[in-house]
Amino acid sequence: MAGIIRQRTAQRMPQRLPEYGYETIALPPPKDASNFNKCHEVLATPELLEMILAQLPPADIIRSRRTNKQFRDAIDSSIPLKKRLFLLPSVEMDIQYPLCNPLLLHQMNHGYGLMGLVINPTIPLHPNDLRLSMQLSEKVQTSITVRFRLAKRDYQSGGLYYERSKIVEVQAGPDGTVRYAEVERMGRELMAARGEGWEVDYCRTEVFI
Amino acid sequence: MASEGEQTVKLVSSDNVEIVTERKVAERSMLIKNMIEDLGAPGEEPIPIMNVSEAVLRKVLEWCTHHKNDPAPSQDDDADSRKKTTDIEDWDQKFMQVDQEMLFEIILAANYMDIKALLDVGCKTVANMIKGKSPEEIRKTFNIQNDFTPEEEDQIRRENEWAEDR
Repeated sequence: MAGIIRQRTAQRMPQRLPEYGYETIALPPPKDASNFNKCHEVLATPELLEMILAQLPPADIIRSRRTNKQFRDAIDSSIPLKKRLFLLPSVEMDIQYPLCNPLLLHQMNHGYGLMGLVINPTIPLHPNDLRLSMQLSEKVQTSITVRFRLAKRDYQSGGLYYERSKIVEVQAGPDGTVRYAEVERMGRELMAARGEGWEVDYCRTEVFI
Repeated sequence: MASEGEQTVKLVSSDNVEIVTERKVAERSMLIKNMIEDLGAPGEEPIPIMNVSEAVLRKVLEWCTHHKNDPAPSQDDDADSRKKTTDIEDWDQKFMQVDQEMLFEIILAANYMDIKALLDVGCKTVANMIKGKSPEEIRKTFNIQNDFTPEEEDQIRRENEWAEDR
């Protein structure tokens, strides 16, 4: 069975803005009026600080948490911001393109995201990749889900025909690690089931957080 | 009867200055729009904008005038409007080139007057001031104090470790 293969970086950013509440709360009177300018009034309004922080990439949000108590408390008490930081599950997330936690991906210092995981026999995958992707989701898992998409090339027109992608669960071995070989075996099974000429166009770990 | 676009309304700032503006411009503010609907007879009774001073109100109205023909944002727009903070319209970016006090005055006014698009631009502008900065630089930018005790600072550093460089 011939090669499979296309490298994709499947880094996708969230599609939605968090929802804001627009009600304002009464501000406490300034403790020291001379030192209480409009800037501090805005930052002391959690809803406004939340709206400002929501415009930032996750890495900036988490860094700004160390600024002062206002920032820390605004972030820690904000559901939309915690979702942005992957500290809460996001139900509004586009589940067709689930996200890896970019903060962790960055930490791992990979050239491409785990979501861009590609079945490519010519590029050996580090066995830790899949285990890491399980840890990324910060919940106990005994399996990971992998999305496969099959494609068939029409050699006359040169066009590619895609099939709807399929999600397959790949079970972890007794050591809690999902082996790359197991993912590959799943891909080959799918190709064999689909018939002559169909190949895995891409496969990607789906990390639901 | 005059069409909506030609109608004018009288606004009164917190420092008691009367400003006459086009109804269409003023209605970028949901607060004013609702008030006009409640009052019934636009143009006659002045509308008090209690929390906004003349200078800020004029600035906000300048923004409203430029954006008076923008389509009303639909609910679904949120999904597409996810733009990076750097994506502020050129005109808006120029508009926001004001001193820090005015910038925050505009944000407070937009919040009070319920002008979502202006509030967004203001928040994006402030977000750009935070972007890429260390906590110390953020404090300096906004002249705010580090109110953590050394123990709290230690703890928050540990909590942040999973996501921060260093």
